[in-house]
Amino acid sequence: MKKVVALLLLLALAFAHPFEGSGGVIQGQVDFEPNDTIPKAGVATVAWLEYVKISGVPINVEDCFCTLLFYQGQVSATAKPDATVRMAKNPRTGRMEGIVTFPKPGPYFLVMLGRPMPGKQIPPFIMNSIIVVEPK
Amino acid sequence: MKLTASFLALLALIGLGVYAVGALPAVPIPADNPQTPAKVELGRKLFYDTRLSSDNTVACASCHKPEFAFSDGGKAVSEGVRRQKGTRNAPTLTNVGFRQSLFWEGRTPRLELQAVGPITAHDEMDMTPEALRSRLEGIPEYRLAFARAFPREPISLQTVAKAISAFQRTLVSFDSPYDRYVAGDDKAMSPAALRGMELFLGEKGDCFHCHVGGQFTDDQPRNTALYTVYEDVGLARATGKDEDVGKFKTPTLRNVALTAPYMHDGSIKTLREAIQHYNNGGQPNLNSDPLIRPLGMTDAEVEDLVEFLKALTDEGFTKNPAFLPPKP
Repeated sequence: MKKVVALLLLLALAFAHPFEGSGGVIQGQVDFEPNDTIPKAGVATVAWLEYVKISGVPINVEDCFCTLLFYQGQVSATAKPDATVRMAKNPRTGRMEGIVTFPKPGPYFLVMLGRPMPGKQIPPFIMNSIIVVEPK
Repeated sequence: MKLTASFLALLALIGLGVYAVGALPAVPIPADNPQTPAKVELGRKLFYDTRLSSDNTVACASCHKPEFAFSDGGKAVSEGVRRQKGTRNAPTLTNVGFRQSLFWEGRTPRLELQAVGPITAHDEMDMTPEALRSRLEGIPEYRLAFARAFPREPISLQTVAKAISAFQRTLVSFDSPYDRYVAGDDKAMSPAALRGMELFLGEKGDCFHCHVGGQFTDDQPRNTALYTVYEDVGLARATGKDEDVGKFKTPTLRNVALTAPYMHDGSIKTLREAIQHYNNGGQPNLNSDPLIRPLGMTDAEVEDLVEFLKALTDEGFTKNPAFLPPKP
């Protein structure tokens, strides 16, 4: 039973990737293509930033110099992330995107680092989430 | 019009605390180690003497060379006894008497404590307090010099550190083109350097938040996102805290054009590359300082900023006979 609950929880996490940081003041969401399906290990996957809200107010995600860091183990400044993605605007889709290849299946801790783009006024932030990656 | 602009720039500098009108700041002198000419002269002699190291090959000046504003002249990291390589870049000693914290992670509050570190470190000068005392007591000129400088104290690691600290407090530098400009010489800096100063003090370059005031440092440990994972954990080496990983003290920028390479590990070779690192927003890092972000400066603006940093060079500082090795 416990295994089923854990599986359901992981599946739920796999399909939605809400982020939260600074005690809930910062919220956001990252989606994975195609159609926000579960990413597969070893496959290049597009991650895109759906929204970021600060105190409930959405910011223009293009104002964010956003980076995603993915950790399979503990999130620590001494640990090398298993994958890192700098988000940049894709002129074709108009979205802030990056391509990530997860090295192994299993759960990953996601950390999103946010800084303002030049001349923009958003506060620096850090948000966390968990995703699950399927075997290829 | 030009004069008005210069006057306004000067007012801005005063407002930011970058320049104090009237007098140069005085080096703080600790009550337990007052400056005396005998002590400063002894400190200078010790500073340049390789006999302070276990194999007689390394002096303080081996890594802090006057011609490079007392840094290590192009070396990323310095060599200690038995040619052992260190892990950190030798910082400039420009105005070191003003520093509120020493070593790259800023863990030491005063020079007298700092000096003990390199003298006793196994990969630097590798001396024990006993060996140091014994060696110096065996040199007649030092017996005399210590007796003059410390009439009521024996030769010891403590008095060696006090004397070297007294000498280092004389290493004062306030005669750069920038200093002459803020003193009223509006021709002292080139137009490019003036444009660079505007960037430095403005939100676009945003250098002044950390390289603050007339010393061009806040003496605070910060993570400048040089790496995603730091091999050298910086302040965390002292505190053990994950949040301190990769934090190193903001260095002064005085004489910075003479002190390449840059950063705690000397990994950046030129000023242009150092500025470009900040301009690009650094590497992804969990502990990155909140001020680290892409700056959006053009190549021309980066060049202007380089010119401003060059204008912080005090040429006289490297040639001051009082700072050079004593005559035998």
